Order: sequence, then structure tokens, then C-alpha cells
Amino acid sequence: MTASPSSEYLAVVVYIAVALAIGILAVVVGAVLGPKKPGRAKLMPYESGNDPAGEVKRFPVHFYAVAMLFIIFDVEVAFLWPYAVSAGSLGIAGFLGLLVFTVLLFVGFVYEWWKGVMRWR
Amino acid sequence: MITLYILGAASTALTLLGFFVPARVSRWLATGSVAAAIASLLFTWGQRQTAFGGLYVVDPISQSFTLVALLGVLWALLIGRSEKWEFSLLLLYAAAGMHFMASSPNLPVLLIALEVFSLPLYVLATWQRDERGFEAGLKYFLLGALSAAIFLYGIALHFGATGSFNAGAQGSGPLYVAALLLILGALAFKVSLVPFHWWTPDVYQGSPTTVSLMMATAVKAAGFAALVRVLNVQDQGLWGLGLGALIALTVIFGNLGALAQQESKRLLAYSSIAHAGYVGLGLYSGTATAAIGFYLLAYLLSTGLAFAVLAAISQGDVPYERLRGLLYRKPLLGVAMSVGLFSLAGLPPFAGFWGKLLVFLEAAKAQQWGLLVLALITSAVAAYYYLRLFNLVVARGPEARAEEEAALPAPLVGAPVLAGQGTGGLSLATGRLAAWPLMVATALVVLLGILPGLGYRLFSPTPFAALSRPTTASTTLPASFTITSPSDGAELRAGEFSLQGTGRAGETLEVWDNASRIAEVRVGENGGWSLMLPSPPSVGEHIYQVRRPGEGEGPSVRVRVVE
Repeated sequence: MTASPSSEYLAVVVYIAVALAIGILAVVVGAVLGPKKPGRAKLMPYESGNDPAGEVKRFPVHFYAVAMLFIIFDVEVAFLWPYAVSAGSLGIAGFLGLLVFTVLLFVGFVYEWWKGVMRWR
Repeated sequence: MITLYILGAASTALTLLGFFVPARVSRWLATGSVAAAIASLLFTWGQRQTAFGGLYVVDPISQSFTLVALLGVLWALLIGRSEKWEFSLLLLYAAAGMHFMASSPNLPVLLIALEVFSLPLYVLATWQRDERGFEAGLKYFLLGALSAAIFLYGIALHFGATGSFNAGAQGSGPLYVAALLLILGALAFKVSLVPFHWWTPDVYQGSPTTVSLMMATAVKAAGFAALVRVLNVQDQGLWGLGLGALIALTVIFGNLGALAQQESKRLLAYSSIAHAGYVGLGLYSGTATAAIGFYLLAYLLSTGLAFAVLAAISQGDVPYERLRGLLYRKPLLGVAMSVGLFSLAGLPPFAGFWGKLLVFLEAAKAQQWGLLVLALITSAVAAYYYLRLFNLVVARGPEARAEEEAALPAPLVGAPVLAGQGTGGLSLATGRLAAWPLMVATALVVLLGILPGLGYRLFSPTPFAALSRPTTASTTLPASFTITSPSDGAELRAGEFSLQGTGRAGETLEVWDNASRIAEVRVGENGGWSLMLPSPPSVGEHIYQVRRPGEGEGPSVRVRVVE
């Protein structure tokens, strides 16, 4: 079999379809075969017998900060990837260019580190 | 190149340095860096440079618009002080982005540069953490993001139509027109041409006055730099009509809107919309850089004066009544405000008059008579609201009550009066404006009004053309591509000729005028190419040359351009 990229991706699509089918099958089997006796106590959220905690106004901003940092540095990785593949042919100039890019992002990282964004109070 | 290095290194270094030095020192470091960048710009004035494979080009457009943008940032740094050093840092980032915006002919790079200076401004717009500030920042951000998306789509269509990411690449067909209209619309957001101006009054009013000043001057300079590059083509097709419509709407609605205002910052916002329309008149002719450059410089100085006076009174709203009798209470502020208003109104002998005259002349050269008349009429209308403010500044009236006196910070130079204390240390200082920048700017507005040649000659590209003429002008190079018309040594009239030549079908060639690359042409299927000059050449000797991208000298012709 020829290993052309498109046919390999077709295999991935088939894989996803099969995985989805098996997953759905499992859920359907569980839903069909199980006994069904819903009641008020059963439908309550679980909290070790206590009433669930009240309303939460907002979540800590840390989650957002972490997600933001992840996006920034994930984009950095996206840019590093092509260099990593062709590092040798790009030579010293390519390396220096990459270094400038990395240092710029690293300065950003140091800034947020010293600002205490990573401190999980 | 050196300008870019200074701005890049300074902003990167200050990012970390700010942790160790007080905010005051950071501010002076930022001010010094911008001043050094301006000095380096003037020191290398007229030199042409290309770097990063043509993604960064130093030419008259880059130099003129960077000068105006950096002066705007410098002005903001001089009159705005915050307890947080990030204020200076963000201004510095914006300066670097604006310089790159003015210096790149590459559309994707233009988009990145646009974001680099826009993102700091979104933050700065919300610097006063009150409801008004948040509203301003949110509006600015949402519309800025929308315009960036439109810009990006325009770039994609531009690439589809011309096969090139270079601004000013030749193209034709509906796809090309659509691309130019999209890019025009996106950049019109940034320079707030009607009907893309809706955010302007709210954002200028809600932002701290120092930041509004930046948006009104430096951002416009960067936006117009991109517009000059993208739209600087000789054949004005549909996009020329679109631009004409935008300008007509802008001068009408900007000035009429300003008539109805009751608050000084909002008035200056509408005034800045109207002035964007006047600048747009300069885009019609190919010699735009000089006229637009001078106009923007004059506008920067005069509106900078007006905004600085408002910033000294309050970083928030300044109702008209607070200006009453300013001349007697604070003579320096009064004089600066009056000079600024006169110049904005376009009265001689102030710099604004010559700015207006120059762009009107450009419109006349391009024979845009309808627009010109419209601009003249609305300019007369504009005089009403500027002179109304001036009338307040010089009025001695019963309204100058004691509480008005108290509302105005007592010392012009002295102890700081902080506006809105208890807002997390983010507010901007008011009132502690050093007197000398105001004096210098006022003097410059008057000086450029009396001796406009001083400023105009700075922006006019002709004196520098001789400096950068290629040393060899060979006409005998046996190349597979050549120029067939005009013939070597021909005498031609400006604005009436095109270049023609031959080459290999499908090949892309670069056309150079003296030492600057003016366009890219694609050789057609029949092995010939032709180029309407993107801008009418200046009178005098020109050496036109075609080169293969990346290669050195190519065949050239030497022609004389006469009136």
C-alpha cells in the first residue's frame, strides 16, 4: 500500500469513526439495559450527603491566566516546530533568528513570572 | 534599521528593567529611547535601506510617517505620567509597532505591525479604571479586532488577485478592486474615516486624554503610511471612487458632528475625524508623502497642544465651561490652546494653514474639484467650532466662578494632582505638565506657519533623490528582460507615461526608480509587460531600471521628466 499522506489521513478518519461508534454503542447499551428509578434524592448533585455549595459568583482568574500563557507558548512551539525540522539547513543565521524570537518570548515569560502570574494564591 | 533596533531593544529591555527602577525613571528611559529613535531617524534621513528580504524598507514614506508617529508618542510620554511603569512601556511598544507599520510594504507584516501598536492602545484606553474607560477600551478593542479581520481578508483577496503580498502590486479585475476596498475599509477604521468612525468620539472621550492624543496623532500617521503604500497606484478605478466617497462623508459628518458637541474631548474627536478626511485628499496624487507628512506634522503639533491643555485640566471630561477665561487664569495654557485651535482651523499664519493648503493643492493636481470644494466649505464650517472654543478661552464672564477655579489644578508646574485616586494606582496624573514642551510646541506651530518650507522640505523626497542615485547606469546589459519604452535619454512629461518592456512570460520583475523599488510587474503571456507609474515622478532626471528579484543591476533607461 502506498503511504501517501491523504490515504493515511483517511485511516485517521476511519479510526475516529470506529472509536465514536464504539463509544456511542457503550453508552446506548448502558442506557437501554439499566434499571430506571429516578427520584428527587437521586437527581441531586453529589456532595457526601450535604446540600451542594451555594452560588459561585466567579472563578479565580488564575485559570484564565494559565490558559492565556498556554496559548502564547503553544504558538511559540508552533513556530519552533518548522525550525526544529530544518535546523541544519538553516545554518547559523536561522539559529540566531530563532534565538531572537525565543528571547523575546522569554522576556515576556520573565515579566509574567516576576509579576506573580504563576503564583497560585 | 537603527531606529528599529533602538525601539525594539528599548522596549524589550524596559519590560524587565521596570521591575528595578521607579516608574518615574522608566518614563524618562522611554522618553529617552523615543527621542533617540527620532534622532537616529533624522540622522539617517534620506537614506534608503531594505532588510529582512524586503519586509522592512526605509524610504521617504517610512521616515516621514515614523517621524510624526514617534513625535506623537514622545508628546504623550511628556504629558502623561502614571504610577505604573507599564504606561511608558506600552507607549514604547506602540511606537515600535508604528515604526514597523510605516516601514513595511508587505501586507501580512503590516497586519502584525497594526496589532503590535493596537493591542497596547486597547490597554491604555482602559487606563482610568472607571466605567467610561472600560466602555472605551471595549469598543476600541471590538472594532479594532473587526477591522483587523477585514484587513486580513483584504490581504487574502489581494494575494489571490495579484499573487503578491506586496502593497501596491499591480492587479486588475473585480477581485483586485474588492481587495483594495476591504483594505481601504480596514485602514479607514484606524484613521477613523466616516462611516468607519463610530467608535472615535466615545473612545477619545472615555480614554485618558493623554492616550486620546496618541490615538489622534500617532495612530493616524501609521494608518496613513499604510494607506499611502497600499493605494499609491496611478489608475484610480473603483477604489478611487470609494476613497472619494469616504472623504466626502468624512469632511461633512466630521465637521457637522463637531458643531453639536458640548464637551471638549468629544469635539476634538470629531475634529480629528474631519482632519482625517483632509489628509485623505493627499492620497490622490503620487507626491502624497510630502503633503501628507507636513499635514500630519502640523496636525500633530496643533491637536497635541489642544489635547495637552485638556490633559492638564483633567484626564476625564472637560466641558466647555471649564475652559472659560483660561487665558487669564493660566496664560500659558490659554495661549497654547488658542494657537492650537487657530492652527486646527487652518488660519494663517499657523502650521495648520499650510498643511491644509498642501493637501488641497494635491487634490487640485489630481483634479478632484468636487472634493476640493467640499473640503473648502466644510473647512469654513469648522472655523465656527474652533473659534467658539477660542472665544471661551479668552472670555471674561461671570461663569468663571470660584469652584471652577478650584477645579483647575493650581500648579502648572509643581506638586502632582492625581485624578481619581484609589483606582488601583492606574490613573494618570493631571496638571503636573512641564511648561517647556508646551512652549516648544506652540513655538513650532507658529514657526512652521511663518516658515512652512522648513517642514515641507523635510518631507519632500526630491532633495534626497540625488543622494541615492545608482552609480552605474548601464544600458547595454544583455538580459532576457529589458525596457523598450521610453527610450534612453527621452524627455517626458510628468504623469503621462508608462514603462514598457519585454521578458520571459510569467516572470515577475522589479521596477526601480533611481534607487528605490517602485513596483513589481508580471510579464504577460506575450512576453511583454507595462507599468503605469505608481506615482507621477518628480521633475528632473530619473533612471528606471528593471531587475529580477534578488539580483543586482538590470537594464535601465535614463529619462528627463519635465513639467
